[in-house]
Amino acid sequence: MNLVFKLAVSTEMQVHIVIYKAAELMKQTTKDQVKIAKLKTAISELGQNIIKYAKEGTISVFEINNPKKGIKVIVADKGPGILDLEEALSDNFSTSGTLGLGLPGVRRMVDGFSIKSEVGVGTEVSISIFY
Amino acid sequence: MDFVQISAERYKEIYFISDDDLLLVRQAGEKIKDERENAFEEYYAWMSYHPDLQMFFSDDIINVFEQNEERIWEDLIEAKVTDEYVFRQQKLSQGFQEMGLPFEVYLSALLAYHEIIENLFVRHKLGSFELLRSFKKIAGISLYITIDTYNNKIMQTVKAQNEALMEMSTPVTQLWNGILFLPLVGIIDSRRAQDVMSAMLSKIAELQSKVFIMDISGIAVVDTAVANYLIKITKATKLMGCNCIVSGISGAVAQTIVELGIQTDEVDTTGSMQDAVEKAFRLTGAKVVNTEKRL
Repeated sequence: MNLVFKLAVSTEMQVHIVIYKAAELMKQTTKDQVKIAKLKTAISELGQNIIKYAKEGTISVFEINNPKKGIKVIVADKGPGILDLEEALSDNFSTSGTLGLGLPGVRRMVDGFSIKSEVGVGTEVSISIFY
Repeated sequence: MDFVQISAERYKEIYFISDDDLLLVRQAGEKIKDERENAFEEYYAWMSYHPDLQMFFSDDIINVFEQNEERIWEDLIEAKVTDEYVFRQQKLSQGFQEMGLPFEVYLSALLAYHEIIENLFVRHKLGSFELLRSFKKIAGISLYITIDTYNNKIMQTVKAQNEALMEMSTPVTQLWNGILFLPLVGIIDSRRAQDVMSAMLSKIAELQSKVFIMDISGIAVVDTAVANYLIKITKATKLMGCNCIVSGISGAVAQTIVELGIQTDEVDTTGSMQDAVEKAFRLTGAKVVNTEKRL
């Protein structure tokens, strides 16, 4: 697994730059439009969460070669953290009046998902998609 | 132009500039204060020395240097790290930027100028390690200000371009009597969704339209936020007695929407534009009839 790029995000536009770059990277190895759409959507959801709750954070994109080819994305912030992870991962739960499908939706969509969060310290979500 | 105002105190803090540093440079500066003419002679010579650089230092730009000579000189050898100094440096870099002096050229000019002063210290046998270190730190501030100023300008240009692009991309047009059409392309963020919604609703009111087709095949990402906007837009149009049809949903987008678990029952969707148009005609009571081709 090697880091391809890592960018700081604090605006929606910066999240979209990350989405664009990650999708371009993925297109080099696969033509599977569904996988690409999933990657873009997942980064978008997690990136918007940073902007909404933590104001700023970082998104790192890795290439995975072993044992399967794929992409791993780590989205991290030093924001307020999540009080109840189980709640945050259940459908239709939102503290900001949105659909509340972001985190649970991303978890359903990707091949690998893990989340670490501590109140007052920050949140780190890592996802992976294999070709 | 608005600057991100960083105070002189903050600069001192970030770059570890102590009162001792300031004192050291001021004391040494006092001893070379009569060298201004020599220093600037050398500085102008540097500007005209390298053919690649020379072309950027036009008479206008040299003129600005000449007019501000005393200020530029005193600011540095008297180690004035004040908010006025920060402001003056910003104005200066902003002015040069507007006059077309490239970033890297101005930066190397600043570095050359600092080197000239360092050499003066050495020639006057003042060039101790401590003095040069303190001087580097203080002189460095002008570099940071320049970087911030140029950066700021670039960021503003990018922001303005983005906004211009967004403005251009909500072209609500009438497709047929009572049918409006809006192709959405690119990135949908909260601001843009708001723009789309208001552009749409005012057009519906204006033209008394009964059907609205929104084509989303050109949208970069359809996530829960975008889906949420689409649902809201659909609801708002329904309140106005207008049917909203969302067309251009690709297989990949359909699959992500399902996996995200978004309830799309209230949104009328079609795969292709053609289906959307057909549906719109049906809803408005119009009909497309094939006529016999005559050659």
